[in-house]
Amino acid sequence: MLGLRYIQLLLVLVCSILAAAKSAVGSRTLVVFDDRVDDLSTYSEFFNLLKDHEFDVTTLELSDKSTKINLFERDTRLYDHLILFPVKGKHYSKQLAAKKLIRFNEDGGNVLALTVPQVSSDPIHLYLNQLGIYPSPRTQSLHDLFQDSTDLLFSVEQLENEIVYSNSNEKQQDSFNFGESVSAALLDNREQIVPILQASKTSFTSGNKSREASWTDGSQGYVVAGFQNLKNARSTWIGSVQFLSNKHFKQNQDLINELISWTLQEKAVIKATEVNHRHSGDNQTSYDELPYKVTDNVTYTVSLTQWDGQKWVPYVSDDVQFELRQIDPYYRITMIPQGPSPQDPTSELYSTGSFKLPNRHGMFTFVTDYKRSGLSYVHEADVKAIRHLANDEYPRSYEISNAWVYLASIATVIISFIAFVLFFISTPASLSEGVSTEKKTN
Amino acid sequence: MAPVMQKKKNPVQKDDIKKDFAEAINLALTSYKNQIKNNRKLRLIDIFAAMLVFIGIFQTAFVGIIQDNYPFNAFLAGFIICVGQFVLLMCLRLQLTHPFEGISKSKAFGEFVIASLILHFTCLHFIN
Repeated sequence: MLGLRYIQLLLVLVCSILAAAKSAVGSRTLVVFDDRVDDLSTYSEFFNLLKDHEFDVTTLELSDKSTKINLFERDTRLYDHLILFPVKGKHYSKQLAAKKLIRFNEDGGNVLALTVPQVSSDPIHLYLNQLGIYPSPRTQSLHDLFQDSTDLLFSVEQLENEIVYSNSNEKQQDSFNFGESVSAALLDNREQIVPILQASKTSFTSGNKSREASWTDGSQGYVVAGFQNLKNARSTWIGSVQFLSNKHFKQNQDLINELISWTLQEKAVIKATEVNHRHSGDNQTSYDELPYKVTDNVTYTVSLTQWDGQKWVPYVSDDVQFELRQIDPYYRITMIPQGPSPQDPTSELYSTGSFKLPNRHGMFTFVTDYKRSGLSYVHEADVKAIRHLANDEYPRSYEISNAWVYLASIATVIISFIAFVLFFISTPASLSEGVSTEKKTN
Repeated sequence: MAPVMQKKKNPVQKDDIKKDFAEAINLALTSYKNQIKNNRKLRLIDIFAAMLVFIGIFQTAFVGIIQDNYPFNAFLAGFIICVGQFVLLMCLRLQLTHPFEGISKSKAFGEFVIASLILHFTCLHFIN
């Protein structure tokens, strides 16, 4: 029995080691390509990598006009990921209009798009323009004053995002080969855009005609850029196809791997599992049992979990913040990680500790708004009412030491009033009258 | 000749104003002294009114010194009882010196007592 159990355990362990990273959202992948532009066999290593990542790859060749692309069956999405190689022709622009791509992305599908300067892939360009990524137009390709234009190299230092590509010791490559005919893009300054690989300072784009103005100059251009929409679906654009080819695959493998992992949501995927707030103290009564009133002590907790490629694990960070908002934030507290959550060990529990609600009543929002470039966005909001004090919940004036002065003066006034009334009644109106009465009594 | 005349004229005017002012104050004081000389009740009223003014100023100064009006309702109650009592006293004083038609002095005093009691009741509740 014990032996069997050990064998089972071993099997599970071996399986978990063998299995490569998996996507958090699904594995159905559609690859769209055109035989007239490129032969798919030059990218066999790239497809092997996709298979290693356990993606269920469907390829669609577009040179035949009868081929139809269906991203949706009625209203259900057919694929989780879409990889677009450069494709020629009008047929393609009809089949894969920018609108369709945007709908696919908005529905949660991830897009990896490649463009080259020789081919004008209009729908891809339109789609990227909608995201705020503007690749160089047709015929404009990237050159470098200090490099051979047929073998453009980019160093690791030009990578901009630590989350997409972290410089750890395991990775040995210090430069990536993008081959020839690379297109560079200008980026909008949107917060959803994740700049990944910047063009070098000595690079520029130029076309065939010498008079043509350059699209990008120096480091304003980007060759790889990402985009994450508010539903956490990702798009990545790469300005070269030779970057993926077998010829340069060995040199670029690390970056390709990381780009696939990021775009197809195998890493940097986080989510909130449990959001809670309650009264501080031993009872920990919830809002439902006892609504909050001003200056109550309250504790807010949130649990965050991260997809590591196999399973959900606790996400640990020191910059998760909580906000208590009523139009403006009244509180912004950096939460402290408390270790794995007792309810759900796969997520990390963050707590604000006990804090005092502001002395202001009204509708307040309890928010965790954790948005970091490259990571999934976490936005958890809960609107709750904070009531004012009831008329019998204020402290009595004699409990407040300041009010003793005013209490004493009121007492003085009342006592002296009584004394005044007594004196007033007992005193005769005028001195002369008083004298006369005295005389009379005498 | 004309400027000299003017120079002489100005000091005369200033002196006149000072003189008039002093005269007015003296007049008021003497008439006031005459008023209370033979009337103990008026003296009593004035002493009480002076005390109320003192208490009111004291409370305001207290708020100014500690730079905090925290139990503001308490301060209001304490201050308003002084002001209210002062006003009622002045009404009583007016009616004693110049009685209204159809209202006797004792009736005026009775009204004063009732109004004061209502004022105390209100202020005690307001200070909570």
